[in-house]
Amino acid sequence: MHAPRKFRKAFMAQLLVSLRAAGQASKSMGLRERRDAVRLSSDVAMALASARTRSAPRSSAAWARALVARHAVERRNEALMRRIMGGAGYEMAAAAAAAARSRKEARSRRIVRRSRRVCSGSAGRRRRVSLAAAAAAAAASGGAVRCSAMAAARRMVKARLRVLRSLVPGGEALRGLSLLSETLDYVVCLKTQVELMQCLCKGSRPKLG
Amino acid sequence: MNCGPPDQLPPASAPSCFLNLNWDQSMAAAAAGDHLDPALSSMVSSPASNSTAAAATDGLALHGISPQPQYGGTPLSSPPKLNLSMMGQFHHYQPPQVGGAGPGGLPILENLMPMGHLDQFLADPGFAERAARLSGFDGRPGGSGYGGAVPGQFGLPDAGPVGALKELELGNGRDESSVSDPASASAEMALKGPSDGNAKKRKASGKGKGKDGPGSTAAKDPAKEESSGKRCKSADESNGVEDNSGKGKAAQSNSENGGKKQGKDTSKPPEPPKDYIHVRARRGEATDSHSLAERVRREKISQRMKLLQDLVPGCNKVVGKAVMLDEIINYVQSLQRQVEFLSMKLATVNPQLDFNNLPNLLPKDIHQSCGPMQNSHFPLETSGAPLPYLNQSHQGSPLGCSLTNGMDNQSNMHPLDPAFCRQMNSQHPFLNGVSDAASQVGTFWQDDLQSVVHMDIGQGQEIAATSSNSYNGSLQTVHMKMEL
Repeated sequence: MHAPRKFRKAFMAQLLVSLRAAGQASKSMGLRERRDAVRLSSDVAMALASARTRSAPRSSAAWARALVARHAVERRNEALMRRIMGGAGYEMAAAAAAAARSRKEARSRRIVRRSRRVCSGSAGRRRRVSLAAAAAAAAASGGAVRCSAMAAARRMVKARLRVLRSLVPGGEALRGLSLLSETLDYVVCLKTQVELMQCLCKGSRPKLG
Repeated sequence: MNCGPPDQLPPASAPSCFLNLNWDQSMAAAAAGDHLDPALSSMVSSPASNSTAAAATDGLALHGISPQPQYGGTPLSSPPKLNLSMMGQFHHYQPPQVGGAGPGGLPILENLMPMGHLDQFLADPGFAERAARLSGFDGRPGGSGYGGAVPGQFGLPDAGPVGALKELELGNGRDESSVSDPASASAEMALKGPSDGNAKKRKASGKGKGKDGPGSTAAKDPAKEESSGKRCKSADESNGVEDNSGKGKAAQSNSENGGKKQGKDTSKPPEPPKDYIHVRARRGEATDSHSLAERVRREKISQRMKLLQDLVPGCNKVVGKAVMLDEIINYVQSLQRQVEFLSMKLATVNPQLDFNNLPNLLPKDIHQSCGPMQNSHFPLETSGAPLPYLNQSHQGSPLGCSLTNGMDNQSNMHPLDPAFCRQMNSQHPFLNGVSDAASQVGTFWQDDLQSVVHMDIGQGQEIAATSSNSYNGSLQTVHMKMEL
């Protein structure tokens, strides 16, 4: 599965533009800062290109928005991002990032409180149920073993999903199906990003098809 | 009429079935013509058993069609109130849609009921869709799980109107029973007559929801007996039990075909009802809306997982969700690290990060669109002599190089980048000449883009002659046009 040609072209054009902006801005930078600038510009280029080439123009991917917002949170990126995205775009992204942050704090407090309540309740219930089930299945041995194995598998999957959620930008808010589709989209774009940047490093012409 | 693939129909039994049905049709037409109100009678038109008719009308009334007053006196006419909230959920699953799916789902109905009101059915998309969906629904448990029960049920000696009614009743009754309506469940049971036990078993195992009210069953059984019993018997005599079961199968496969076609119709070609997915329950699976939703969700998840599996290299041999997720996580991490590494490399290798000296990076159209922007963006290099960066970057690590002289090295890296240089030398005759002399390179990169143009003017033909880079030449001419 490859990113569509349209996306690759848009990405490449945007990447060149934003890298030029980064190069301009990073004249007096140290190596590390310059690397960050390159990283930022390529990320923003990816997000912009993906938002631009979407079939439905309003529905930009969650990861793209989150990626831009993540970069926009940092104050020192402001000048560069302004140059890449334009003033209005940056204002929007920064406002979204700030709003998301403030909202997130309040929401996370609330969620933690609620989940504690829910967890304690459901855990107690589950324990009771499992006790009853164990008592019922005590005669028929093997059932409990299988049950625990399944529970272990489920726990493993859950842990993996948690890791994946932290990897995909904006994935903290997603669950299950939407997380997987975001991951799918993100991986395709990330692959394209790596390819194009490799081409830039080598100085060879990328295959845009 | 029979829209399914022919292999689904038992070849021997199908013709007999249709023959029989035709006979039924005449009967039904004769019987139904007299005393029913046209609006609903087309759906419910059963002179045979008013109990089921009442149940059906009630079910339909729920869907917005007014019930028939003429059945008000029957014991079933006031069944316990349906669970409306459940109904809402059920409807949530069937988006309003499907004008076109009607014919796919309706063949049986048309077979069985040759009345003039059929077009009403067809005109009513909601009903058509529901019938199609439910018939698809029906076939499933019968096909796999309740093989014993269903042929009996379908191939019940149903003579004309009863058959028609039954089909309808199946639609409605299933609808209701999945929505836990005791009345219609029991009505259906009553209709079933001889295979009552089977039906009960099915009801009990299939959905634990259709609790049959014992009182209503008892009340209806006699009614059914007297209404359809005779015809049942006659049909039995003429066809025989085997034939009946065959017919049942045929009808069932027919209905299944209808369901399948409906599923295909909605899932593949048409865009609008995207949120509707045809779900089929296998044996022992629950059919209430929550479990269906859950199944749809799981299906979607597994589909996404499959796509990811295709995307991530080395993931297609892995079995198990956890391991697959591991692979995916590793891949995403590796990609992210690669991006980091590449940005580091870009930052060191090309400190200025301007790539407009790489015209072949982009196809023409993009470059043209970028061209003016480049000119406006691009600050002219004003620094000192370009370093012969090529040798250093060959020897030392690129990082060390750029650390020592990277910052003040304002010259552009890329023409000096080894790989690129080689490539360009092999391709561009004019760059060959350019990269020979350092001073020339210096002027080349220090001056305005006009210098490029001026240099190119002399070599324009040469470039144009090298057909491998015709596009590069055209690009230069584009620049020329812009500058001149």
